[in-house]
Amino acid sequence: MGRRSSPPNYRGWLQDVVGHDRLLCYVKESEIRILNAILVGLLGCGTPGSDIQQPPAKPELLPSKDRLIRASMVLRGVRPSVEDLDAITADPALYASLVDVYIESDEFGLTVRDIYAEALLVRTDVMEQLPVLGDISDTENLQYVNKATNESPLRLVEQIVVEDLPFTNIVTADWMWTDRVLAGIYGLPYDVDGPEWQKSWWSDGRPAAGLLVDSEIWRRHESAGSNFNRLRANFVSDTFLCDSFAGRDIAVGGGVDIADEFAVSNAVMVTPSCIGCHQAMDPLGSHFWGFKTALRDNFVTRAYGAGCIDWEDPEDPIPLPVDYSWGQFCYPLEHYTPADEQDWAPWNIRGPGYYGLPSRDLTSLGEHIADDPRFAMCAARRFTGYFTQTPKMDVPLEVAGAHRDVFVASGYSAKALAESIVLSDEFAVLRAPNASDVGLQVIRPEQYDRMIYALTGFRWLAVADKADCATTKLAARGTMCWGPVNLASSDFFGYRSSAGGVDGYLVVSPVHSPTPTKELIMARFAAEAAAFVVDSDLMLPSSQRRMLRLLQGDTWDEPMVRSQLVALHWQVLGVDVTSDDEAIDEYYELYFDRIARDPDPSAAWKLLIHALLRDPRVLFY
Amino acid sequence: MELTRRQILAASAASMTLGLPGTARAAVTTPRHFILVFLAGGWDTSYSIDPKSPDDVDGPWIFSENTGSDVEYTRQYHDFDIQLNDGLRPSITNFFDRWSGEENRVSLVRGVLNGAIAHETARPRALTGTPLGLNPDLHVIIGNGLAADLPLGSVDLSGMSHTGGLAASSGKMGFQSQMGAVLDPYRSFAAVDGQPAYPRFVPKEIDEDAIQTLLKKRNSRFREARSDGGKNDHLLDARLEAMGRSVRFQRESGALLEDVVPGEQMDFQAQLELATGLLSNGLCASVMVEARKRFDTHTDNAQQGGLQNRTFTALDGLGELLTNTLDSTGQPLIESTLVLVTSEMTRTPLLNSKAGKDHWPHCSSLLLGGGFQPGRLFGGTTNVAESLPTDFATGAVDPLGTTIGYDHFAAGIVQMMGLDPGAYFPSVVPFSPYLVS
Repeated sequence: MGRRSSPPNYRGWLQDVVGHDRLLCYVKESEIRILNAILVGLLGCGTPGSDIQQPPAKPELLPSKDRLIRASMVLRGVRPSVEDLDAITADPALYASLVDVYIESDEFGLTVRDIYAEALLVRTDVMEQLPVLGDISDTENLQYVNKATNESPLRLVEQIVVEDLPFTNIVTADWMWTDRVLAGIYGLPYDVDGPEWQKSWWSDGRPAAGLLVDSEIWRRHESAGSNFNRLRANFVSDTFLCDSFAGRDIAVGGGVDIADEFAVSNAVMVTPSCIGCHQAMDPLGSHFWGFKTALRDNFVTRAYGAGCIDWEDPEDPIPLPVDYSWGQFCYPLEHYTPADEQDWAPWNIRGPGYYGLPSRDLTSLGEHIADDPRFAMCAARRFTGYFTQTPKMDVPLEVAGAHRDVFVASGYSAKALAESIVLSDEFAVLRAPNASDVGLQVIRPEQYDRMIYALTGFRWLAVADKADCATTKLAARGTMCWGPVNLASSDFFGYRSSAGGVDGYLVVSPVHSPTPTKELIMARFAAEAAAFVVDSDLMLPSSQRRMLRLLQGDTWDEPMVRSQLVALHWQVLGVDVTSDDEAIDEYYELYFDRIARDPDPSAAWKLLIHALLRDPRVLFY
Repeated sequence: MELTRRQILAASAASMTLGLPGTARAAVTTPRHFILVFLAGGWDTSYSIDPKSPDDVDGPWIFSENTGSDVEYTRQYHDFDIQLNDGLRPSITNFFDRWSGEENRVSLVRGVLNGAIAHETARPRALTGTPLGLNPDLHVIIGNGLAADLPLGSVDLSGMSHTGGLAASSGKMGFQSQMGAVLDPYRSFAAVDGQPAYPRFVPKEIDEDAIQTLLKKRNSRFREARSDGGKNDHLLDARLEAMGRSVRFQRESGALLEDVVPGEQMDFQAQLELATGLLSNGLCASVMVEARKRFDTHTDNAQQGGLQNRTFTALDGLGELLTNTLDSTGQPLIESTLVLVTSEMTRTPLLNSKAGKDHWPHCSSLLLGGGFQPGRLFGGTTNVAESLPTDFATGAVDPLGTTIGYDHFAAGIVQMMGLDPGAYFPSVVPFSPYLVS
């Protein structure tokens, strides 16, 4: 699949910006052509064939092996296997078929979850977890609650992609994914004899609409006070359509008393400076009145303290405008109440609608979004942005538009979208002199975790709980223990956000740059992984080892060390060198100096692998 | 309500004015250190630094008894008035009596228009001076600009910083101080049952030096192979910088971080103490801390009183620490440090139906320390806390002036720190009247 060379597609641009194909129904094709001409003139862009401007020179692309490394890291978070490196070296034409294999791998599903963890901001172990009480009181510790609640919406997206269902299912599906803990939290159908994660259904009467009716998304994204679900409306618009209301400048004041809900209700209907946003945003928000404005961990703790009865405490600041009772906050939680869906009406605000079109309920909202051209463009922007470490709205229009076209033509296959991105020339540029070029990418913490595990078999598991975590005064919450956590891919005790990832709450944008903190974290992680793999490899026959396959017995002579280093350069770095290469000299010098100070080959190999795992060809791909 | 308002007005009329010149200050010099104190969630400034009339705003008096020592009143300190209640918020009185009285180390900026009312969009504006969280925030910019020769430019103790393209000079301590376990591997978390304890391998210093030498060579060769005068060069240069800074910070910060317990979140006070230590020991030039309080009072706005009282207790302690701690030149840190206390937003003038307050995009901030004329009020707000146009040259409210935007404000702070705001905020006019007496 080569780079498209079509003229600038300003219809696509219009659809992206204006937002809705139906809004364009009054713009004729001839007018589009005129607009094209005007924009070409204004922007100074020459179309192919124009004698005003020559097309830019074709950028230099990565060699096929390095391109495969980039694709493997982006799609799976692991390096290509030695066999794959051998294959692509022997036949560069295998690139596309190897990409297909990567897209069919389990690791690609994990990457899809990572993409949407950044979008949905639901991996939030730094926030308080639901308490281990009642129907989930047999849960071993908080990390299981965390995984159940954080990963459920991400698994829905993953499964839709892995099963290659139309991606529009993320807003239309009539199913969800649950584990045993989440089933207990919401009273979901769950087969205790089945697999840990199962397809299930919300059983409280809520409409079918994929992520739009996922309680864990709306517990994370609350509607505060008199916000009337506008935050949720903005989240939906930004996440699924790449159109953020909140990103616009707001001039609050001008005689509007925004402290008065009724005054605000009136202003957003009649005040010109308010209408611009609110006429579109408020009808989106009105779909969500069936969800409680907030449902936090402490509601549940207090509900159990109150005996889970339908009792209302007039002293408590119970969320308005819907009257709740404590009985709804014991497991299974009553987060969605069909009878509350119309509670927007007394507030004199706009009812459910979709950018001027009528909308019945959340199912209807999901159908509108799926049908909106911005949905496909936004998905193209999100995947491209993630795969190239570019903010989604900075992905060049032409690039996003080309991938969108493939995506739509494939029947909204996210696999086809991913393939289109990874097979494109833009993805494979060797150098990035322009800000919009892809160039080198920086390894993400999730990728470093997966890559280290694949290479060494080491997971950075640790227990950081305080000794009294099960008996502390907060034991009214069941337990405050997290148990063993993966330090590389978590935030409460771990290092994900400190190493450039997001924690879904305090840190919501990834950092794609080396930092001193990331250096320190990678160095420590690499040291532990090196110790693990050397200690375990040296106890195994060479055929079963992960990395030190060429070392034999107690013989540690220079040729053998150099041969092993050559093999490791291929396995870890994807660099094909000979044993007398300068790179091998440098590593051998490191080994030799260490042995000279301390004649312990095991420690010397730990040092070498420790350094290899910090090599720039590992940090950057 | 009538009675309460009369009481308040009476108290206000009787309030004392402290138009004291304060201790004579030496000429204002450009600060070399910066502490960004962030009050996440949005504080209600009508409880302290931006008093309003009960006729216009539901201020703290709504929840006050207004009897005995619990009386709401305002007091004038130099150019600005402060909302006080000695019974409910004694720390605020103590703070301003000291730091705007005898010490005279405070000025205020009122009415910076943030233009956003959602935390996710307001926060990057307030911190970075741009709409995007992808850009570096003030503490990172300033640290990067001032600390070329220090181990780190900036250190984030809040967990909320934005590092952007200057990430190579910035450090973090982690949500639960977990970087302590990386900086000193012998304080690592416990391994899982049945597994060998951590750390399982710690290179000696001479080994790490050898690795650094090796990695630098390889980095340089990789840069040669991929050089593009653009992103690749930037990333590989950043890697070299980050490597060098990380080693220096690890080796030079040891004793200072002994009290940091991996796995335990630092409270506000502990952050301020560590911030002072980091600056005085020359480990960085800039630190960001966060108050660890829930200022986002959509319900029960009365909580603002306690939250701000505790905040000003800590700020008083910070002032004391900075006064009693010397910098590398032997001067008290407070002479060479600018402390900016700010938030992403303030709160609506009136209560909502849950006795809380929602988001208000007109911000006010407090300056403590050095680098500005003390006792000044820059900018202003209306009776309902909306931003007023201001003369950027004098900082005075002026109907013909300009509304102070978040970008103007951020650029002005950068300029106050002696850096070129144009390098970070091209074409933004900095709001920087801070040396005008």
